[in-house]
Amino acid sequence: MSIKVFIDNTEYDAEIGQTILEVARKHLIEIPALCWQPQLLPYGACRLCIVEVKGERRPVTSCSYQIVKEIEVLTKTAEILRMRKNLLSLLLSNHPADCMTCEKSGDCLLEKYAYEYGIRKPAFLGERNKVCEKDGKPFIIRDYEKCIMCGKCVRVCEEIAGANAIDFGWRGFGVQIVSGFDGSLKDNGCFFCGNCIEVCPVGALREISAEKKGRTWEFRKINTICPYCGVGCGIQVSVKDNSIVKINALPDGSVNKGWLCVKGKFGFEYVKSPDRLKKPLLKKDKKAGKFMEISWDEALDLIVNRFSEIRKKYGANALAGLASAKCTNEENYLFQKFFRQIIRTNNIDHCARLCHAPSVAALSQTLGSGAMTNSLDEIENCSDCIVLIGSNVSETQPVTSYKIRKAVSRGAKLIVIDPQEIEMAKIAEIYIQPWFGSDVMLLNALAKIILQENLINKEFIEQRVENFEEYQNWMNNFSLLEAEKITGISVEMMKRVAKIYATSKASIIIWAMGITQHITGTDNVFALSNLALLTGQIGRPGAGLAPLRGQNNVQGACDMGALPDFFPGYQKVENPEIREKFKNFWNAACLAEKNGLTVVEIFSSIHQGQIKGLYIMGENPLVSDPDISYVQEAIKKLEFLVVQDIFLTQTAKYADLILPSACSFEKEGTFTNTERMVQKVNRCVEPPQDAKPDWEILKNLAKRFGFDWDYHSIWDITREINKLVPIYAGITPERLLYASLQWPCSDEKHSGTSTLHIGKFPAGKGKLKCVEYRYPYELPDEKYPFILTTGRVLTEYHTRTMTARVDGLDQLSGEPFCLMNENDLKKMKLKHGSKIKVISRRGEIEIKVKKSRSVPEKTVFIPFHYAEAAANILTHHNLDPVAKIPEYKICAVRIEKL
Amino acid sequence: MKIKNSSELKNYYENLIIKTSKREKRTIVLSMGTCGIARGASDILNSIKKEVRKRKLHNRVEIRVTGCHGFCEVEPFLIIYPQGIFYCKLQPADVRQILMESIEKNNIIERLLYTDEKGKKIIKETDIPFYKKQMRLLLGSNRFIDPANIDDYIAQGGYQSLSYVLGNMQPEEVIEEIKKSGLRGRGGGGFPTGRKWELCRRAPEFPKYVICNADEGDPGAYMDRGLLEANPHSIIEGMIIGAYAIGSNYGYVYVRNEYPLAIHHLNIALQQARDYGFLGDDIMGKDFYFDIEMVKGGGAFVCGESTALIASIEGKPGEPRAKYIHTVEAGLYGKPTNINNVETWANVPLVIKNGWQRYSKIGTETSKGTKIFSLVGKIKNSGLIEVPMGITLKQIVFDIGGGIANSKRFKAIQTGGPSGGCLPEAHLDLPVDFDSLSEAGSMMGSGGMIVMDEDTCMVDVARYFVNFLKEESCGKCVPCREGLSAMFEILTRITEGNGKHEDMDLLEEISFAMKNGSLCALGTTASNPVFSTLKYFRDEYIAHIEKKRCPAGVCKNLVHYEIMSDACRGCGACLKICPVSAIQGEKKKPHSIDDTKCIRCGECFEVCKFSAVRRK
Repeated sequence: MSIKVFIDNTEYDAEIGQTILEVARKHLIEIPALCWQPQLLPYGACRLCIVEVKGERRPVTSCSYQIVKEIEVLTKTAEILRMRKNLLSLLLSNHPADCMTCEKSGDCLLEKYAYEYGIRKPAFLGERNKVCEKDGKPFIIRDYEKCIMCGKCVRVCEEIAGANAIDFGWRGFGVQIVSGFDGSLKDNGCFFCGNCIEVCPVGALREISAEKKGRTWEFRKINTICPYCGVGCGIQVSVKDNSIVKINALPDGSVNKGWLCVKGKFGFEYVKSPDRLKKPLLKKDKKAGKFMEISWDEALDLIVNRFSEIRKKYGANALAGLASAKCTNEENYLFQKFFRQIIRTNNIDHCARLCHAPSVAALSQTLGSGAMTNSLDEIENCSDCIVLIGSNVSETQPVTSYKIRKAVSRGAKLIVIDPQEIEMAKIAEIYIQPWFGSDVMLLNALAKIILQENLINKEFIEQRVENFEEYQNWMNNFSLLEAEKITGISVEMMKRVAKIYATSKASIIIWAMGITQHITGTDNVFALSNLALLTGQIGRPGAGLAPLRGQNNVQGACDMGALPDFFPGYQKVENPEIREKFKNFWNAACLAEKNGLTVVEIFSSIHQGQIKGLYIMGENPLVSDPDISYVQEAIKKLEFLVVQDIFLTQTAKYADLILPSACSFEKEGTFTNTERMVQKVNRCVEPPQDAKPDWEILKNLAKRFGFDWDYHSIWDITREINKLVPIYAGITPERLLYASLQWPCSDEKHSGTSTLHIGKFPAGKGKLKCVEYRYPYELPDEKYPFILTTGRVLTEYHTRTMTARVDGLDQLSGEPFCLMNENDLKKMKLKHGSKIKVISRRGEIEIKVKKSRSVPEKTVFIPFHYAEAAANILTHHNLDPVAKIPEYKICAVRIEKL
Repeated sequence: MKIKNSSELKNYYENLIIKTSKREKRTIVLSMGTCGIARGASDILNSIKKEVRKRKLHNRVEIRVTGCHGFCEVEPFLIIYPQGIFYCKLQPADVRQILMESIEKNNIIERLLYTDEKGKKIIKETDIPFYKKQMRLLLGSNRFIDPANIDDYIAQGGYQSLSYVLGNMQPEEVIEEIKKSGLRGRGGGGFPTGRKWELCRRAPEFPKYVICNADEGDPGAYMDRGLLEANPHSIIEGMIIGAYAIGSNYGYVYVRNEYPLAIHHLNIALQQARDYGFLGDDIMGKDFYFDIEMVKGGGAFVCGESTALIASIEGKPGEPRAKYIHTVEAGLYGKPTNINNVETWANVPLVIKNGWQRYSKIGTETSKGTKIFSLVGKIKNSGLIEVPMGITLKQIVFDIGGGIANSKRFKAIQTGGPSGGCLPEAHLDLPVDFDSLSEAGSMMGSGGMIVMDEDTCMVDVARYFVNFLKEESCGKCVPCREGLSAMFEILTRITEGNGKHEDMDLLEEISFAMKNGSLCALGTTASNPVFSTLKYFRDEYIAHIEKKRCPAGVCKNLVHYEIMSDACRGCGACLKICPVSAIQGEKKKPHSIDDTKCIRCGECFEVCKFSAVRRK
């Protein structure tokens, strides 16, 4: 509801509950404030934002004063100004006046206000707080002599990151920021998200990386998108002399609302790594694995020759390509176009196969679209019940976890379902720990309870769901007691979960690899989709199904048709009309008619001698794919392997030809994040030497094949996408300059879609699926009594090609490790930090063990990032029959002491 | 044994009265609050027990240990009932005589009686002028109550207000009653209690909490301690009534850990109240659950502030928060919370018992009822006093307090704890109520009153309180954290003789910023000692700064001692007592002080019988 407010005798409109400061800032009325941060709860400590409100006895702090009725506010009376000046003077009395050497100068709020209020010399020069620098290694300088105790760092650590690594110690004049018992950040639970630096108004918290590199006015600042996970955080990159100095979060209008995680904030050192590939490399000596530098002309000619040879000899389907979830939409578009138009095969896939293929497969069938149905902001602001299942979100998408945390503090109920007691379980209303691989059973049980207790949404089912009766009949035979036995969760508890989920105003289910990386991955997603359809928890803001995407542009790579069965925009390859459309547009003689092969199928086809040539753009299957020895054997059998990457990856070592490409800081284009938001990527620095953006490489290659791809800039490709992909039709380069847009966006007037499936599903009606429970492929037995489950950790990314080259990240988690339950360690007489051997039927690795309480007994968790102790040596490559995803989450292993 | 309804309580009460009236034993009442114990009451108690045993008086005498009655100045004391004989300033050796003369026989021991100013011996406690001018509605029953025995409280009519409320009144009616009575919060804020309850009751969320703020931290103030130690059930009863009116089932008493005896008594009282069915399920047969948990504070002064107190109960650092949402709407664990001070809660049964009409007759237009003060400092009769609102400061200081000790001149009275102001003689006619004191630049606060005589340096006093508050500031908001530190430095510099004229302006600037800009009441009132002394005793500041002199002779750097040779008889007393051998002189010849050696301890000044030592 709107309400009138008079600020300095001018009338403004305000919402009830808004604070005076919010209204003032909105209308650009300057009120100074040091402890205020729009995304945090009001704190009222610096007192600079005091204003006079008619009728109040004393001045009030505008940051905490909520407007509930019409008021008159005066922000600049003589008394107020006098008081502010006094306060600033007091603060400056206890602050080193070393602005001329301070890193923060130019960006410091205290400096700014001192200037504005004309304080040349503080009036009360006296005792100073004697706090010295504290340990914030490897990323943060904690120069507390400059600290003004605004408490923003403490609050962001608690309210947003949830790390609670710092707090106020002591009191009164002696108050200090401490971590633990005043120790280092590293030892006291800090996640190094760096958000404390983001909010520090003075120079007390700074980036180690930016020290002595110059001050704010010396940097060129470019806004772009973070290269790491699927959240797609907006970042501002400060550049000096073609080098990235530091990265800050973009506050307004970005997905991340001013927050970052450790990788986004600090993980950019790899860009300038000496290991970067700078020239095309040709393998000279296959045995010794030596490469020699060649020119681009030579390199491209070689590809043309070898690929043409193979095609001539074995046919087009003897060639395959792996696209990249790290490359831009435009590049993935060109990559699939290259294979479809020029090579004429559909053998294109990428690592989405290994993460959300089941989500896409299942949701396409039940709803008609495989993407996340809601935006991340809806989780933060609209969802009343959040079911987090099989997603260690605080490790894998930290910024999403901030949003969930905010939702919980708003009053939303969080239900965490995970065999591992993940960080988010701490703030959950309910945490349940089902046994590995029992998801279908558990989810069916929830559905059964929803039916049994009549928690269904009848109206919704009648209007928007088909085969309800069939489903209901099928459910008749389902036994809750059996579910209790298999999942290990009591019926009582399942009832509580079902009730909260079904009866909340808006419920959302968030999942990730814990659901999909199973041989029952597709079934798991079917079962989730059933819950949403039964209760009508979909198609409204805050209600829906949210598969969290892993990589920065994995959504985009899928959207762009880097898939064996889809043209860009999920247009079926096997549909002749669609094929005709692309054929005509691309002016192609013909296009392959059959679906191509998926990632894992490509490798088995190599084994079977059907695929002879492979083009890998920015992927590293030799670490990321299951059963590595199998993949390795396959790769060795290839006649010709091209790897296009920014580093000499484990896979590239086996390549016949390596092409150096530019990383995301060195090119333009678009990324599509987990919530379907298409965002513009901007060039911040120049690529090293001869490295080129992937799209340029592909364009040049096409030319050598005799195809005149007439793209003058990357935006010409975007325009082509606009024309060919209906869901991207309105997402034009011109619009992306000013705003990010969520697909589907049908034309240039369409403002994008935050919530999918409002009123209607693309598939018409939603389909309930009867899914029978199946056991995982390989369960522990006497010989291999432990379950191995793989996953990711916060400070590492994918196959560590980037993170291993960031010194600080390497310091935090450079060494491979596994987690085991402390009781198992005790039983096996193992110590925290001792080395063990983990052995499966496929292979064995040696690895350090860490004590954990979150991992259940008889379980080993190994992050898959590390090539030197690759978890995927142990995993098996049996697939989900529909989505062809391997079961990374469960295999049987045994542990040997070393 | 549970008392299940009002008629059971009535029967129980009547039986107690009958039992008491039939009792033939004498009762020795011994005041053993923390103050009494500090003055040696434990030794007296032991002697009494020993003597009773020795003289086999078990059948003739009963001992009742009570909390403080108020007159701390003359402790340890005892009263013998039924006659009401009051013996004070006792030594353990006096006990034997008391038992021989006053218990075994019916004699009165003159020398142990209280002597008034005119030298008249007074037998009965109630006739002592200190008590006579008071109105002891809350403290009056202390002498009849052993705090560890709930029956004593019930025999005084205890829990009958609760019984009446639960039997006859709707929650809204209770609130109305409290509102009409005009009861205002005794913790210092003076917020109308009934209004607060109403807001809390109306807040839509559940559960609701009621809290008793017993974190009494003002130096020199011990009203709440007195009540907690002497009559804990009055507080508990008040809280139960409040909880019923508000619709709360959970209560907390937040008491400072430095009050071990209060904690002990409160623990006993809570358990007894549970045993009798006043706490727990189905109180007095009504479908009403309420229980109270005690939380001990860790010693931070600021935790007396309501939001800091809540944070502390929640296990968070005790820091106030910005009150953009009132605690009555979102307090403890984010739920509606009603916090009242100890004395406020103790007043509640009284209001119900007497009815609002009678209660509101006491006091002034805006401040109703009585108020307990702890009267300390350079006063003859220090102790806890309870007076009707509106009484003047002069009446308190001179009629009840008996004037200034050691025939010195009155200089100032500081009211309201460390953040109160110091009022000069000219303000002695001020009526003591919430509003008048604030207008004069001080405050009623929770009820501390410190009397200062001519030997007190007001700059030093301001510095003392600022130092206290500086130590106790939580450090959250800028004006309080930085302002107190800056003020302390300036005041120190003045008392050391290094003050500059601008310092007074600086002090005023900081006071201004703190008063208007601080987050909580600690900060907004912290400048009161400075502000009020600057206002009323500016000449002392000027003397320190301009003349480098401390008129009261307190600030050591500004004091010089010299021996006037014409008055000195050369007795050598000063020479002997001087701890640093700064005094020389031959016997029977005038002595002299070496100013460079002198440490200004003032011993020579005190010891000289001929007033030959002069302080400049």
